[in-house]
Amino acid sequence: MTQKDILIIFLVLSAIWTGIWLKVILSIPNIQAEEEVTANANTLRRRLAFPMIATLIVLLTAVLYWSPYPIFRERTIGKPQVTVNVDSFQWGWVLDTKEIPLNKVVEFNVSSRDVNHGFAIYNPEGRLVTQTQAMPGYVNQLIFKFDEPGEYTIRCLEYCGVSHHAMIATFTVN
Amino acid sequence: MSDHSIDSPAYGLENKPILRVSLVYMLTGFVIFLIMGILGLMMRLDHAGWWVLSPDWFYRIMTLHGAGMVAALLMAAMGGIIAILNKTVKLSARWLWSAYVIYSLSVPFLLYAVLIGGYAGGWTALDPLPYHGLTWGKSAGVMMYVTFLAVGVGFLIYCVHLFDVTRRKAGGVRRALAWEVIFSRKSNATPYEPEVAELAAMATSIIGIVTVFGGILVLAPLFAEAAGLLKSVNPLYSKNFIMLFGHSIANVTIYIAVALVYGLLPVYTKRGGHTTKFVALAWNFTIILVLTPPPHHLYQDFAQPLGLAIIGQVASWSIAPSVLLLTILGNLSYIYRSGMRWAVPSVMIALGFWGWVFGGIGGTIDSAIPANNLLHNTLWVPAHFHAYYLLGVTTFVWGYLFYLISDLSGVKEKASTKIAAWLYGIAGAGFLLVFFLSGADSVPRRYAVHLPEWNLLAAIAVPFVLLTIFSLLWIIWDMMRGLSGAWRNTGAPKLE
Repeated sequence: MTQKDILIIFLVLSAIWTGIWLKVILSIPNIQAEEEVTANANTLRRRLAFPMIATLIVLLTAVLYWSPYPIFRERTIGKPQVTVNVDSFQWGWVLDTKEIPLNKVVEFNVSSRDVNHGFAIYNPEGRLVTQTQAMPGYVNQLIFKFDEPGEYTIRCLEYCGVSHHAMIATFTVN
Repeated sequence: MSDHSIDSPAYGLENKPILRVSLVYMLTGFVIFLIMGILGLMMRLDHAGWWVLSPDWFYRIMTLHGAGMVAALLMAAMGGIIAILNKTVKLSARWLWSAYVIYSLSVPFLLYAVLIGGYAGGWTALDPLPYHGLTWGKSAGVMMYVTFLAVGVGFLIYCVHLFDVTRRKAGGVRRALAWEVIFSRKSNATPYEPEVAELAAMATSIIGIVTVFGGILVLAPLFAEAAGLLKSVNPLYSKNFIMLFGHSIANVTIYIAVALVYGLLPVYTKRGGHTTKFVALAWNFTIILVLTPPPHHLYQDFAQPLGLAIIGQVASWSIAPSVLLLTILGNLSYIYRSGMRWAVPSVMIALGFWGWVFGGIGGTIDSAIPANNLLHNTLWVPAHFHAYYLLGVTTFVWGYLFYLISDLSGVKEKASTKIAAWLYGIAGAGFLLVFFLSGADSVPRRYAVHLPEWNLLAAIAVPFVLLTIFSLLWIIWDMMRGLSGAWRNTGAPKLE
């Protein structure tokens, strides 16, 4: 799933919602007794409740399976083959390598020396592909596999002070 | 005394000092909202590359904008609900003024922190940043947390008072929460049915009290750290509680604003106004659904126990069916084929439901853990909560304020002002759509400096922001005609 898919889902749901809302707004002049409308609304509630909750429960399972936590990514992507240690500070990144192999499962061990930072990886086209937080006192393990070569950019996505936007580093995947 | 009549005004006139407090809360919130809106415009102009601010000032403005908006809209919503409660509950002006004064102390504290202390750590003040900002001193960070404290204590006083009066009137918390309505059987005696505003007041005051105690649990160690009594606070602990406090205080605002809609809709639709089983369920669920989702802010903190992430996910997604099927469907059924009278407040309410769901869709998507991995801290996040605020909270709250001033003063709105209200909705939707597109384009939030390729979407947003300001000024111009009359009709201030 990419941001484009997410945007399409958002736009489709928003369009459906706007249609429903317009139907309600345009109905206003055609008066109907409140009791009848309330009864219809209650019927609609009963009909929608189960499918809606069931759909969410199914999706919840899928969501967890595809979540970025190591325990799940080891299953969906594979066991780490390469380890990259990442340290962060106001305002920079320290990686113990700048070269990452293509199509290998990489494990980033991300931490911070001072405040919270966001370790976000942007692909050569400028799209955010994955992220985790860099937190002082903790090491967050992010597993990812790069299937596109090129120069990737690390951006800080957790606000960390007045040079937050300049907290950038790059690495190459080849 | 119960006043279910759909022909009665959506406020109580008998205890005039309370109405005056209500007006002061709402007008204070409104003025701060307008100033913060201008700061928001400055940030988007910066993003468009049209008015480049220094990063230091951009982040200071961002801090003011965030803190000011959240506090202003909460205060305005708090003011609205007391006007409705004034119909059926005996409130104390002394308590409410005390809450107002303490809450308002947050303004000088915030201004000191940001303008004098140079604090630019964002309204969320995520520990350890406030004490390690590098460009501002520790004292400015402490002052930011004092700002939190003032808002928290003011809100706590307000909530304790509302909790107390609604509990006493109902004869217990369970009755005030309409549990007799929820669990009633046809054969039983008539259940106790609190007014919707009373039920909303009880539910939101419980949320408020828990939220402030959550805030105290993080502020106390942070103050101890500042005083040298603690070396540091565990950042995962502080993040959880800061998010609980910040999320809940922002999120509860929309539910208080919705309580205004429950009060106001009967005026225009001649429907609703009763605490039905579904209304009662909606408000009881609200308590859980505001307080349990905050762990979704920590999805990307992989050190967080997985169980908390799952709680955040389940809680966040539970909002969708309950709000859609209970609150939204219920209110739309009051509007559907009702012959609703169109006026500025009813237009604002209709727009509010439209926009609220946009925010809900954006938020529900973002609260899916894998999607959050691609959207967290991009502009998708402000898109989602600006939808809640700009086309949800503000339309409900300003719609109610417009109604209150117009009805109290007897000055009728100009027919053309409805155009301004619709314009506000269209402009707001355009502004929000661009925000969502930017989020989907991976543009980070809280960035003072944008890449040239990100400028275009921000530039498209600017005319929409200007249009929302223009339409709002148009509405204000009409509203101001009744302000002095409304003020006079709330009588001389008289403390109990």
